[in-house]
Amino acid sequence: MGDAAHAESLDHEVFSRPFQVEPQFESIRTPGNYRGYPEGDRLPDQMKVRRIQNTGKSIGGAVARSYGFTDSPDAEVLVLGVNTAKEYGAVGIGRHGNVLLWGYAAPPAQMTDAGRKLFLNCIHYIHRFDGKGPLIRKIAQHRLNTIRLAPTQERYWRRRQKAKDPRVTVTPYIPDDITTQFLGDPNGLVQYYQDNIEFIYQDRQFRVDSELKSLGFHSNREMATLERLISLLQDEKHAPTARSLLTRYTNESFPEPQEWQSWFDQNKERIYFTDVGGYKFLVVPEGYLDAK
Amino acid sequence: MVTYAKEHRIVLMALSVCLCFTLSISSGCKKKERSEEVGQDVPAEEIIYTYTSEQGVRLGASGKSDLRILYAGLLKTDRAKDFVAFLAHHFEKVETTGYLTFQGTESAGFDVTIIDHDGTDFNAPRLQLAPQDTHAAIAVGVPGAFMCSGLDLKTGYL
Repeated sequence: MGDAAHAESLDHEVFSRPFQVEPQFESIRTPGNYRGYPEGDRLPDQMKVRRIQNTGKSIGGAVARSYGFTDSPDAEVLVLGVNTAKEYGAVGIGRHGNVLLWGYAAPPAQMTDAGRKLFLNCIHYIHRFDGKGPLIRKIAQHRLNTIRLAPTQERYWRRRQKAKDPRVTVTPYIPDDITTQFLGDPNGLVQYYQDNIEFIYQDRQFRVDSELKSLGFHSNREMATLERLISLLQDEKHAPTARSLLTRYTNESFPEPQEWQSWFDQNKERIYFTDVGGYKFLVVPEGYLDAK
Repeated sequence: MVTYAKEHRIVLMALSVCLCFTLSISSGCKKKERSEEVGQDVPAEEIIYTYTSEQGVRLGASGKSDLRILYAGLLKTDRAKDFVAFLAHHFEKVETTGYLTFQGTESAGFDVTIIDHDGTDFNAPRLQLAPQDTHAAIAVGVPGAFMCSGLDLKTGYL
């Protein structure tokens, strides 16, 4: 990441408390690397940005991947970093739990006036999360990575076939049996994952949940799915599959359907689904989101 | 020696011209970059933002924010001095500790810890902090992102 941030909304309080951040905007040519990511071809030729620092370099700092960044309520994107390696939307400044990543590299002397004020504001802001660790850890890859990885999978598969090195034990995120169905057709593999994006989960490798699909569900991450799976526990025919799916998508293990229903009723306002936290429906602890 | 110089006078003159030309191009490019793209560095002594009563910040006796800041960095570098001077202008209490020896437990007694190496080094020693440490912290640049990766945070590098 270089000096700039994308000129997205300035509504967040880090742009106004305690110091009003008044960035100067400019226009840049859309970084070429953005085009290689899903939806990248839809971006405009020019993008509006604002400088955080003035090193004159286009590389140097760090951005975090955007995929799944906001799929749990303990994390938030504050600034999108203009970068030369990752996707548009990658996070230049973001918070996860009690830690705020300031991905820019320059010291205060090389920050812009707006950058320095933003840095001070971030210090005041992160203080409010002192003692509030993250709810989840990043233990899985977000499902959008299937589409990101698909175009290069065949090349990766062929390289591994060629190596035939028994020491090569890296398990690819996309299973070989899927990759080999689309040899010579990378767009087909991308399309396969686009068509099944709502059914992807990760069990070491990315899987498409055919069980859930066969039951007529639309998604594995909607609250309606969880609610219906619990109701299917009362259905003799589908109860075993529903129980298996509830085990896959939650960390709970109630023996009786009534207990599942009770758990759901008590927590439904605080349940969220996270890909990167392990493809699970989880519950925000009471009080966690209360402002400090 | 004189004969040698005479014989090679043309070559030496050509080399001198080339050298001057190269230097002029080099300095010209640099000058353009500084004036048009980079801007001047501002010494930390000259950067002071004043808090006002409307901002809702708790202020100490000297009119600075009363947050207690710990800066963990490479303390002998100009970069660290710049950070610390800037912070000291805006916070009542700013203390420092070394990046290489930093352990999360040192954050006890501080409101926010700023963890900084040099901002860019992919090979910087990667801090391994305890996941149960929930002190508020700002992780800076590439080494900061790698520290986040070590904690399996979404703010990690990959």
